[in-house]
Amino acid sequence: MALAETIREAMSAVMDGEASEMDLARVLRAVDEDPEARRYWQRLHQSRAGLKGGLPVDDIDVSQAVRTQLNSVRPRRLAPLTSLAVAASVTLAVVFGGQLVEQADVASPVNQLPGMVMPVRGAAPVQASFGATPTAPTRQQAVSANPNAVAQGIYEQLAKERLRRFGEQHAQETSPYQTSVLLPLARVPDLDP
Amino acid sequence: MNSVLRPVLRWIPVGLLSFSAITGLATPSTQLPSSCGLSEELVAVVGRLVSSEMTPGYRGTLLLEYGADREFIAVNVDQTAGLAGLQHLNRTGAQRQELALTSVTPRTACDLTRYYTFQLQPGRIVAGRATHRLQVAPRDTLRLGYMMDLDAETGLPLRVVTAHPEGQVLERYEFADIELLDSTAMPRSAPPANAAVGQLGFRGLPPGFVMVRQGDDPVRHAVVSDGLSVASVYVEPKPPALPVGEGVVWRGASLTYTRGRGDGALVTVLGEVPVSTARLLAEAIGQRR
Repeated sequence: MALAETIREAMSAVMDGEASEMDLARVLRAVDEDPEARRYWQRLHQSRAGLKGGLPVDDIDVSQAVRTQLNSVRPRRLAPLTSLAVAASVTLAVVFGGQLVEQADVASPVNQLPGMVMPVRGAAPVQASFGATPTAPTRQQAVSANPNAVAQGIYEQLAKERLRRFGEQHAQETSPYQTSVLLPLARVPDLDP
Repeated sequence: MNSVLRPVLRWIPVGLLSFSAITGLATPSTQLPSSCGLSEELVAVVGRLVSSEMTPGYRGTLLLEYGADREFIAVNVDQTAGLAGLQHLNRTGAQRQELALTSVTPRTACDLTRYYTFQLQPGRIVAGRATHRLQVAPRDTLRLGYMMDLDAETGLPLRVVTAHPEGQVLERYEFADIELLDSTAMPRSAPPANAAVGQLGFRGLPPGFVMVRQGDDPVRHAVVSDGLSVASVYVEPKPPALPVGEGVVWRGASLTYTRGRGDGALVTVLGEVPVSTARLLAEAIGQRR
């Protein structure tokens, strides 16, 4: 059965941060009750990943994909290098974006928030790591190629800072609900890298 | 450090080579089915997994691997004292971190079957101990998948691979060595109550998730769980100059998603969930008391 247009529009609104109460209620109900809605919701995320420079992911049976992947874990000797390259290129984008913000406005929105932005080892922005070949942008490209790049850079910095600020509390409070009580604490980033 | 590293590094290629072969040849459990369609054996295994009180005390060395990072961590869980602690061995000057073990009512395997499928197979030797392999696959794209090698005697997860719903492996942890302690779990208290907390609620939750905890310090927040996946949702005021937007970082299986909403809320979701779930949680949590 085709997914109702109202559901599609509501999902797009949630993705874009423009959802009304009714939109959100529609989406939550739809992903709860309708497998087609769940698939469409996933496709929306995949297409957004594609728009942000990543490669689109095939429309596949998710449960089967997980099983297949779990059964065919490859040696990771090259993976860290690839991840490092992606992380490095994204870091460049964030740093360049951040520098532009700093130059343009000393009272940056980031500076109005409690805490401070610190590098977090091992934390990689995900939006640029959907499999695309990383290309380090120039400062000009970081702004002109995507008008939202600066805002995205700010939010990635915010997310890193929140991981540093809330990570240990998350670990402590969620440990009773985890299959390994110590694992969340083990993931907390090094505060003095 | 070398004495710790060497046995782990020696096991990794062996484990990877045998990974597919073992799972491919394994025969799923054929015990009699329980009332929810799972075998009695599966119900027992999952029950032990989700109930921390049923795991024994232990100490050992853990390898945690994600992206380019690989960390070795000394861990110690003392069930009698109700304390767990760890120390990162390859972080310079790292302090020992501790947490108090608390008791919660876990979901049962039958509760979880609406959102996950389970498959039990013979496992391999991990840290010198025999294991059962439990494959946990999500039924939808709103949670992560796991492959766990569980200690055959105690049910303790000795090796866990966590994967995104799209199949990307996010994280792996594995015990390099482990010693079970002769300590039994004492009756423990539930997590501290949150009497002072205002009304922080969700306008709806992704299927299967319930709010299990909330707090006010350092900012208002709530913890949600579907029984396996867990996420904390923090709500702060968004500075007026900050545009609406979102940002994501992954650290292993743990995601941090920050979203500035049009209604002036800055929401951060921190947990072991996909971005699609974090986005729903960030949109659904209320801002006002």
